[in-house]
Amino acid sequence: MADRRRINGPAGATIPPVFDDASTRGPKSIKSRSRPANATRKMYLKTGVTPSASGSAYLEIETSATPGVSGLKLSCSVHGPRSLPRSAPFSPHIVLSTHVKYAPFATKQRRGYLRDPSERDLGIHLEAALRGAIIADRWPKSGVDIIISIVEGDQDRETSQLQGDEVWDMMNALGGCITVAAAALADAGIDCVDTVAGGVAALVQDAGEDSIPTVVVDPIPSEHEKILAACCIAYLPTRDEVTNLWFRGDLPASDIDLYTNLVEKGIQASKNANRVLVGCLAETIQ
Amino acid sequence: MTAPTIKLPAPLFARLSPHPFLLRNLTATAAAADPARPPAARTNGRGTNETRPLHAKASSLSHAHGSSLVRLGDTTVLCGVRAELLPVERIPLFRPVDRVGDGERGGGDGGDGGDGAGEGGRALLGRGELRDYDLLVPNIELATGSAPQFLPGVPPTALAQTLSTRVYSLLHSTGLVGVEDLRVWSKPGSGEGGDTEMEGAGEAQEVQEGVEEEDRVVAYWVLYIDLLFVSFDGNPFDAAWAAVVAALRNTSLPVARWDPEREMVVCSRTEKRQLNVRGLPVACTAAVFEEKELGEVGTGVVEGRHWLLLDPDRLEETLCREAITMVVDCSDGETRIKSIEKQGGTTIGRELIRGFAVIAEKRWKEVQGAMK
Amino acid sequence: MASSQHVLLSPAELAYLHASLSLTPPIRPDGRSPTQFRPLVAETGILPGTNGSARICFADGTEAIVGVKAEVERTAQRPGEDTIFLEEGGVEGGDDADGDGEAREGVDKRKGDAAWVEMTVEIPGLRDDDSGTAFLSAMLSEALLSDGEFAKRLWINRRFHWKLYLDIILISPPLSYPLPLLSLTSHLALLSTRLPRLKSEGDEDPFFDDDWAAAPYLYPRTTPTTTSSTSPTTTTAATRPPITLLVMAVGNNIIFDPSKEELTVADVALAVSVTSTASSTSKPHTDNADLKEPDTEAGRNLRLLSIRTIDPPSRLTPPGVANAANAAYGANNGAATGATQKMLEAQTAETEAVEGVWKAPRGGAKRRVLGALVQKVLERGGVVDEVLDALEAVDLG
Repeated sequence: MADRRRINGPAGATIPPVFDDASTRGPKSIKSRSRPANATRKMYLKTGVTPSASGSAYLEIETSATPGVSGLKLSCSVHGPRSLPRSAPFSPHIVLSTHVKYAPFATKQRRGYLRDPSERDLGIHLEAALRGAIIADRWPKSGVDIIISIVEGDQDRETSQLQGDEVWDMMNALGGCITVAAAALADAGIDCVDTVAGGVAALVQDAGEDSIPTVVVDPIPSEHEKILAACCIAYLPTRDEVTNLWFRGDLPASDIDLYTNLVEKGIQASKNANRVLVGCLAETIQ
Repeated sequence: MTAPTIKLPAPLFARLSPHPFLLRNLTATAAAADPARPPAARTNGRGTNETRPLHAKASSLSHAHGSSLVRLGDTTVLCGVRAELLPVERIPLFRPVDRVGDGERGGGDGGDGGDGAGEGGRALLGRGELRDYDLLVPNIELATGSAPQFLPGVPPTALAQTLSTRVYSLLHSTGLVGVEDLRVWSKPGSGEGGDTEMEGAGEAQEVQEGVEEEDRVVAYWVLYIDLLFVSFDGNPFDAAWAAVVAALRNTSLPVARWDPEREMVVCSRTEKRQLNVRGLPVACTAAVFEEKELGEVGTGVVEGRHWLLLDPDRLEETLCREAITMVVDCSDGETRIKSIEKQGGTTIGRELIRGFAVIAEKRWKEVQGAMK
Repeated sequence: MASSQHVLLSPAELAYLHASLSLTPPIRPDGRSPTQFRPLVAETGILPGTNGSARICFADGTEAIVGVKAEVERTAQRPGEDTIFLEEGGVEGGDDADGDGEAREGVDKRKGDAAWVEMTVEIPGLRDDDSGTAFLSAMLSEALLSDGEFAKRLWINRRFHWKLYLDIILISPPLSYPLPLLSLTSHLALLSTRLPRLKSEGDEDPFFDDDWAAAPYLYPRTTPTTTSSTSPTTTTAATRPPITLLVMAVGNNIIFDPSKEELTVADVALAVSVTSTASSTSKPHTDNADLKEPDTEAGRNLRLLSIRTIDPPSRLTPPGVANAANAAYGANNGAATGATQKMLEAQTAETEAVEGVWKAPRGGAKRRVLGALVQKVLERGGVVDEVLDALEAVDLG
């Protein structure tokens, strides 16, 4: 049934443009990684973009050297702490609600207006990552809303076909979401045990099926031939603790070192993001 | 004995009793004898006829075909235009396009002269297609946490729905986009309007393929115009409309052609065609602030003074129940009023509207400067 | 979300539970050892109308049913691609005369082959679009699809594939975090799933053998003697569907399959998905790893598929008040005024934990603990092997 509260457009379904690829590139051309394996992309973080909210932040991750690859752009606003509605049951802690939504124009495929399961999933990951960082018992009976709009996803515009990259894109998006939400929480003046930041690392295979896989931080799916596994980590640097860990891939269980290495690199990426975060917050204070 | 005076910081006062707060600010001149007092102004420091500067930045997104970011004070809107194809088979009750208006094309692309001659009829015809097939789809998303009252997880609010509908009807009534830009013809080169750079390539192909099949419209571009409020501080319509215009001016569609073998429309990755946007309509909104508080005002005659607050912010919008929006376009040298909308209240009369046209004209110049 | 349903335990009970679970060895309320699972009753083939089904009932009364249905579906050929493009093509898309019609059907679910599996999770009392359900379903399908091998089993020919509908229904109220139950039930259901034997050849419209006894299992049970006709690669034989285990840590203790009460005091909880592949040559990139482990001859080759942190509900529990700060127990001999009392309370809340007073944990999990958790799960001959052995014993009827 059509959503009567929105302008729905034509009754017949529309199709996104199909490009005639023959002239430009082969079906799958891989750009090689433009950075060293343990370098993250530059990011730009700014707080206070939504003056009407209690706290807000905007994060942009640099577009990589290759043109046409868009960087991640996230906008986050925090509303609260505010009192819970009367109907809500008593809570000894602050009630956190997270909401992650892609803008309709954020990705190669036009997104719908309602949150799809993957966006809900991102919201839960984000909630787990933040709940560990917030000192929740300082605000009993109150709630805080954290809303993230993914203005632009981290996708290569030129690759016309998906290569099953969406899941890895989600991980990159989650890493950004955690960092930007931490900045917005700090902007809203909500007490946290530490600044939490997200980092992503991946195990990639760049030179054919038989090559030895390497671990890289902050992977861009289009820059790698095959991603075997990736993890996204939310990390509190001064406490040396992990509030959220999301690993996905296919690793031999016998080789625990491979996994440990991946997590270590994820933490390293998170530390890098944290430096930017702390720098941005210090700038705001001045 | 003097009554104890309580000193409240201004923001707190504004929250506790916004109406008297704004009223006292506006009537400050009455006590102008006191030089320490600031001159009459709105709570945000602007004069009644003073707008916030508008900043527009185009092409900020890479996945959209056209985009813009418009800032109007603390109101920030992001607009992305995304084009998708609607094959005519999907259109219920599709009428093959009447080529009367396009007659001059048969004689080898009449070019600009021919376009001018056919303009009237074609535009009229085009309007019908745009509306009948719903080729423009504007939607406004306020629930991005842009203001505390707009939290996600709920269906679009009445305000968001109203704004979307207003943008939708204004898009159609101003004829900002012509349907000829959105048609995809079965023969290459025939849908490109006056775009000369495409003609050469188009005609060459036409010769190769022969002319046994009649040229027809095979698909339409549908423009999904999505507006995302990043931050909300009043006057959403002016900001949203400016963002729509800026994004459409920035839109370029890939050159599409019909592939008879695969029976589908294929787009070129390299060639793009700028969308033609007619004119530069600019919306200008003012709210009427009445001396009496909202609750007290009856339905009858207006009593007391009133102020016309141009470009109202969030606080002011909540205190005013009457607002006027005028859309003007001065791009052809003359001021043309594209639309006047007025909601609520009884204050604005003929004189005020006439005066407001002048204000809107001034606003147009400011916005035009910002859009450059 | 589902993990954070409120458990009605007082701070004192929480503190007691936490303390007993952090002993060495931990004492669990139901007397289990740290790695022991709750007893369960399992059966397969309970739904005759499905391609595979299973039911598991845990001793705590939670029960789940999983049904697997398969349908033949036309694979949408991506226009402009020579290679077959893996995406869902709606059956109705085929009626359209134009090629665009089919392309459109896949637009919404451009997940490549992932769209061949449709999983729904139903938890009583939770809405379909509840975030907790979305999380569970994402976790289960992530485990199933993350190796990329599963969808290949659904391949019929270049033009058709099986579309698998996996319906996971919890039929009891969610008395504990249902993830392990749902995962084990889907594991059994998938293990018992059979697809009709293909009789047609090549890229023609497929037709199948109607003899159910001849239908091969989706996951071939024995050694690859029955070369599955539905699978283009024969190297995936004897692979098992993934299982997702819930593991938690309290202090330095690692506890498997926590009950609801135990989960409430967890410092950290992880959901770890693993699978076992019998053939070590199925994936070339594992070669270097396998060289280090020559003793894989008979044993399983476990593979780690996914890990997710579960937000432990302990963060939402009410804190206790230490006697020293509690006026009701005559703290400070009643001499403390309201103000100092408040200060003291605040101090207790902010300072180190008092022995025996419950306080919701703050911050995340130590890196070391996380590492130990995962290592414990992946241990050779550990819990995963035990669980897989146990499930193998279930008659697949």
